[in-house]
Amino acid sequence: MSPNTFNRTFERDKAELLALGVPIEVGEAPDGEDGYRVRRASFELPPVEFTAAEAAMVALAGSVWQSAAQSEQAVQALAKLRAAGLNPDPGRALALAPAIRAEGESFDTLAGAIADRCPVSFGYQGQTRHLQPRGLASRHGAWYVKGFDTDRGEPRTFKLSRFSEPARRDGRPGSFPPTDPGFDKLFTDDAADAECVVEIRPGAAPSLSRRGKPAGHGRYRFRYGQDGQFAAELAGYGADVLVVEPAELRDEVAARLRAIGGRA
Amino acid sequence: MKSDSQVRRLLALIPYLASHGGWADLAETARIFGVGAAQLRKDVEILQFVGDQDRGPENLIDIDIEGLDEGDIFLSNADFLTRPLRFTKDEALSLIVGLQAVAELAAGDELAAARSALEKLRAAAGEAANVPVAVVESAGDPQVREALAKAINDKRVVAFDYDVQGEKTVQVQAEPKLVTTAARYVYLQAWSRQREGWRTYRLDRIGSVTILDEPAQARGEPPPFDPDWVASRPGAQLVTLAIAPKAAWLADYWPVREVRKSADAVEVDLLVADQHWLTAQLLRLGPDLLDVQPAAALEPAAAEARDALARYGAPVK
Repeated sequence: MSPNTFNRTFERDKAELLALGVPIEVGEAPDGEDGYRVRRASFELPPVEFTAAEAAMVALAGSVWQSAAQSEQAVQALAKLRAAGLNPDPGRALALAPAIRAEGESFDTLAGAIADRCPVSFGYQGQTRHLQPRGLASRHGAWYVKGFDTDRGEPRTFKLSRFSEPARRDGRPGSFPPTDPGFDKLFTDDAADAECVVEIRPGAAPSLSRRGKPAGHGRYRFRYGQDGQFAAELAGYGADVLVVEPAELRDEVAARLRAIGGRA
Repeated sequence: MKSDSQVRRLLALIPYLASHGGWADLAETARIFGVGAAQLRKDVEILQFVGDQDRGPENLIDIDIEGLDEGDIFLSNADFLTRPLRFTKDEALSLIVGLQAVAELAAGDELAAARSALEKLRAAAGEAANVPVAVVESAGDPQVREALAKAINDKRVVAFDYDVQGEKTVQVQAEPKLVTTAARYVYLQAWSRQREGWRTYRLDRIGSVTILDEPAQARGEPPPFDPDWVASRPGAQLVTLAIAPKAAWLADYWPVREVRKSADAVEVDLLVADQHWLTAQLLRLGPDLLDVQPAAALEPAAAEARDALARYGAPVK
């Protein structure tokens, strides 16, 4: 084998081993020659022990994915845990059946790009967008990617189902710093920074009244975000719901109602 | 090299079989590894040519080939590989996200178990778990979930308040069976005592749950859950809405038949089985509703809006 052929073969084998989870290090052998080394600790799954209750949850996690590629990966991961001693009780009937699916071909590309901190581009509602992807979120069954939009110069969230062209890598790995651990919080509803009082007809709109704090006489107090979504929701209840205060929210809801009531 | 996924499987199969004392059931092992029994048999047959190079080329894994015909895997001399490989990034991501989805539906002891398992899993995955993912489901009130989980596990009847289309509350008595996700909502599948049949209830519309001192009956398995049930409901009417593009996200939450996009409007065809539901959606859209076909479908919403404006003492135009 010529040195060139050897190097090519070696590089290919190295990449295959890495894909399997076996990293190869370059180092100095005891005789002073350069060599390659595989450390057991670097490729063996570290010891991990689950209680019976935890094992049941982990086993359930292996059946959550409805899309074939991710489901196969989850099954492989679960098989490794079983090889490491995980032994869930098969007779344990579970009351939960969560389901989740990946969306289109962009999901894998984005997950890989986030892991490698590699910029991506994709078509979104007809435009090409450039993003440093930082994290993924499944919110009520739809997937979103969150990251830094380099065209707009600010953080943005994009819905994967609205991609008009699939995501592709567009830059070098390691182009931006790792994501903050507080990423999860970006997707919680913490924009509720205003308070209002709403009157609800007795027995009407129960899914609204349940979220409020009773304030007597059929009135409820709510915290809400001022992005217009709460006003739209309140308008949706029609005459069953009356905003008492503040005046801005009253006006906003009335304006929305006028847009429909003034039309026919 | 053999195909990547087979090599992966073999490298987990050896420690799996070794950790089971050298014996395992062929069919069960195939199921665990997510392949058919015939494929797993081929995998096991390859193992007899696998060994530890340090111990010499003759020192290979021993397989009882006749045992395979009986559906048993017997092997020995495999103790050189006792630990599986670390997770790859894709494996770590898939299982961790799966566990996050479990945690979104769990409550009480199960939620605590899912969370502590997630921590252990992340620690074991190490570097491979470096893709931040959030999973959020509208699974309603945690106390509701906890009561339902307890009733399912103890096989008991429950009574709860249920909001029908956000309009009124009804009392339901049911035997809960399963909490499951379908598209954007989380549902309870339960045997309705009033309707004498399987029903699904959206978790975020269930009010306080009381566990009754009455055992649930054996009802068999609920039918597969079909979130497209609206399409099959008799009397559903086809309505076409034109919506301003900035409000088009609302349509993601509707049972849409077809969507047509242009520069200044998004047109959606909807099958509407419930006029009250449509009225609420039209009122919600307000100024973002550009057009409705047939035009008569707007009338109940317009009348409701005028009633509401009268309560505000506000002019209609």
